[in-house]
Amino acid sequence: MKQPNFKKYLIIFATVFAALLVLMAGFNWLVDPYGIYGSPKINGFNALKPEEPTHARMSKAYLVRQIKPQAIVLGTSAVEWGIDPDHPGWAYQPVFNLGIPGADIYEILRYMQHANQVQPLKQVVLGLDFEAFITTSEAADPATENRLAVNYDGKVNSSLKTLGEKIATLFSVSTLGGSLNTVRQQKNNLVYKADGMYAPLPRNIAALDGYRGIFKIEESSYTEIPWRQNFDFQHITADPSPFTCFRQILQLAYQDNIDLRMFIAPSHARLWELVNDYGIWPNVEQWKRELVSINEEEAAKYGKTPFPLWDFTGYNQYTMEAVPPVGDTTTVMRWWNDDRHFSVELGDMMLDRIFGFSDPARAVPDDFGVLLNSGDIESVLRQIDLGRQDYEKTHPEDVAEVQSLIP
Amino acid sequence: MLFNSYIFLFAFLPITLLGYYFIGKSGRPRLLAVWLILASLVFYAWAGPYYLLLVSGSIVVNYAFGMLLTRRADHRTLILSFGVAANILLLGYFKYANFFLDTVNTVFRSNVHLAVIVLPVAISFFTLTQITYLVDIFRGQRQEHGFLDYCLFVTFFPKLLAGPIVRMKEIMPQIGGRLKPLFSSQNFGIGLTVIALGLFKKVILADHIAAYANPVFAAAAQGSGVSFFNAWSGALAYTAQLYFDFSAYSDIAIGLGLIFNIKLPLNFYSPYKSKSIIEFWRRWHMTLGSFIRDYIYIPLGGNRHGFLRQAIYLLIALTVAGLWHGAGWTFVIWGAMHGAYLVINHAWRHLKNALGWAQSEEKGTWWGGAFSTFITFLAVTIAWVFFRADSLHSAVVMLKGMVGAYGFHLPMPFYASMGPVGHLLQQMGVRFDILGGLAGFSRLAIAWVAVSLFIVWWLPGVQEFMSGYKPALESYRWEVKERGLARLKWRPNWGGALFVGVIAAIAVLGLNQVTNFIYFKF
Repeated sequence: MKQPNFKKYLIIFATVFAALLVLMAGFNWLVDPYGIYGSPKINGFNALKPEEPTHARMSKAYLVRQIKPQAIVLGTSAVEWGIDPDHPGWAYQPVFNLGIPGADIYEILRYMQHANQVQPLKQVVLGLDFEAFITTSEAADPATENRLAVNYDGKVNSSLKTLGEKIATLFSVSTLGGSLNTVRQQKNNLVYKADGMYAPLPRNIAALDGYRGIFKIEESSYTEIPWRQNFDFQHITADPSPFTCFRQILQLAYQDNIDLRMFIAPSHARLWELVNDYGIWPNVEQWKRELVSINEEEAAKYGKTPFPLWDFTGYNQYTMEAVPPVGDTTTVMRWWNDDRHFSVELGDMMLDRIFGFSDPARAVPDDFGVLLNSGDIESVLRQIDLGRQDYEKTHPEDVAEVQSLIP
Repeated sequence: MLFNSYIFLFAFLPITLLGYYFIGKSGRPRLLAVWLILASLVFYAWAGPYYLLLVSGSIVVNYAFGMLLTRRADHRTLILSFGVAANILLLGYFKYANFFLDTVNTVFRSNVHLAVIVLPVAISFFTLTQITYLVDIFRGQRQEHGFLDYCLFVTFFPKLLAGPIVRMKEIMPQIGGRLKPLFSSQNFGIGLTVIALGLFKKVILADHIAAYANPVFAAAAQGSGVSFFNAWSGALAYTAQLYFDFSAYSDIAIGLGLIFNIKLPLNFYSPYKSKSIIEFWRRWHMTLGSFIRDYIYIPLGGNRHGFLRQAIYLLIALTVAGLWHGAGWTFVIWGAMHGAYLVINHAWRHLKNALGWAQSEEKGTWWGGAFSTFITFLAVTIAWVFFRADSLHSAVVMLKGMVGAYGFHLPMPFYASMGPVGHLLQQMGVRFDILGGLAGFSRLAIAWVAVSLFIVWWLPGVQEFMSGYKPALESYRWEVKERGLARLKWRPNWGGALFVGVIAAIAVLGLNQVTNFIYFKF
């Protein structure tokens, strides 16, 4: 029998191995699923990037470097879906939506520092979500720290680090999966628009049991989170504390003369029921008080008027929009995509108020959104609380349904 | 240091290997051993040098006991007892002290606490290896090698962190002045192949399917019930994950040893194809199974004192095995379950013999074999639920889910695509709603579980695949009849090189996320 030639085996193995590595890395570079290599965009092949929304932290960091925006939107996925850089009220261009799904306030600060380093910011609209102020400690993600233009203390990051990330992602099987997915889904618009806004395909809401089904899915996903622990503002273990990060956002805006406008993002009334059922309604109220007092403290330190802090969480026809009944799988809601993600139309109305802009085709009630300050924060909170109690009386079925999802 | 990391594969390994060849050329065998020992200690201490002192101390003490046993003719039992006890006490302190105290506190409602004791990596494994050393010398095996060789025997990095658990007679003849620091294209080729296959199993299979097991067990730990399909998907995913993960580690260990021209013992041989629990323990974590048999079960009495005693010894031995895996009641129960399984298996065999039903494997029908394999697999999967669960309570929640106590739910989108089958299921009581899609259950979960089952049942395992070229110390000793695809064997030809080249490239691309092997914290 012929003796096996192991030397030949090793040579063939090594050649195949090396060739494949180069091929797969080359394919990844060509397709550029996360938009970070800057390879040419070929229509029908890789022009659309469906992988970007699920890799926001990576993609948007590099997009900011490409676009060099003078104005940005900051916040979580709520602003990513709903706050439009094309709104006519923006005073500077280009505008980039730097909303990041699931971002916490530390990351929001870091991405603001990053954008400011790439191109000095002139205007920022910051959407505030209490969920971003998580109080339990989480170590900063080294991947994020390495890819941004500055580190937390303001020191410029070496560009070698982004090179490292680019090389590492080239040689990754997850990138390969992303590349294949990108090529396959070129007809799919599940992507970011050029300005960073999230532009999903219309969902197959019938398959999800209509909007009521979508709401229930969103609400059920909250059962896996330890709410009281994560938002215990009396015992903050995160370092830096979320309020420190908020303070630093304000300080950066004062130091660099940035036109910062903040708003507390609305959620659908059903979500506030959930928040109340989990026992953290008082925590949210305390959070708002902290935001107001920190905002005014920092303003006093710099001798300036406090940045506007809008609160859109009140109970009104928009936040109490009726959710289609069980069995209705076709009706599309006007103001909400789900409990937390307001529609672009509602976002435009908020921007109207934030920018003091008026569009005759869009009627915005005068009591939509209220500016918060230490003088009237208590009465605002009381009014919202009364609004919730009223909602519970007039929408017992929704209340019961939400409560049934609590384990 | 982890096998599945850039630093190990592309820095540590090439450097160690090159040093090995270079020193080998100088013809100084002691230096060679020192080199390998130093490399192994660097490998061990990479995550933190704190426990170097511990493993060094343990090695010195055990070697001293070994010397005593070799030199003295009297008090040998006493010396052995002290030696074994010292090892067990060390392990007991680091691994079980807090477990013991917690249990005492629960039972007596007391509140005694120690400071947190961090478990040194690998301590469970080097404790067992050194116990075999002492017992083997006691039983008369000759101890003719020096301290240096003993150090290498214990610390040899391919098997240091998670086995295979090696014995003196397996390793000493291959070291002790007989190290072979020459490049052998055969050993290198076979070794590299086994490493590539193991790496693929770990980074591509084990690490991905973990995503379908973790959320289910997390949900059970939270107390929320898991519905039937969810629970089974999670349990099966874990069954697959544990096998891919642990057998991959052993494969890589064997491949690494071979690259240094050392053969390590076989540790896994497609265990999920076993037709009985008795067979399972000859194919799963084989070196642990033989440790339990040779150093606990047989010394207790084995099957020499009648069936009742045999049953008791089996229960004791397997419960100890369970406890060895982890300081927790879930592990104890897992061990006891396997003890019970073995007792039942032995009883069944006695019964078959007594009734004259016994027949050899060849005469069995294919569906009889399939049925036996299935039942064995089921028993093993159910026991793994305890092994994996965070607590007794969450294990019970999982099992309740697996028998349908929390209902039968499937994700809503399934109904639309199942057509008449969906309607039929709904009539039978299956609900299509949100609860079905919780804890990560999805079409993808089903696909991964299905593919994994196909792999473990119908494809050859790595060692079966390579069995023609014997990468490990011995091939599987019992006869195994492979059918169909499982008969595929690796050959060092164009096809083999192409296949393994592809596997290795994908595996290296999968290294990007570095995760621990499951047995790492043992």
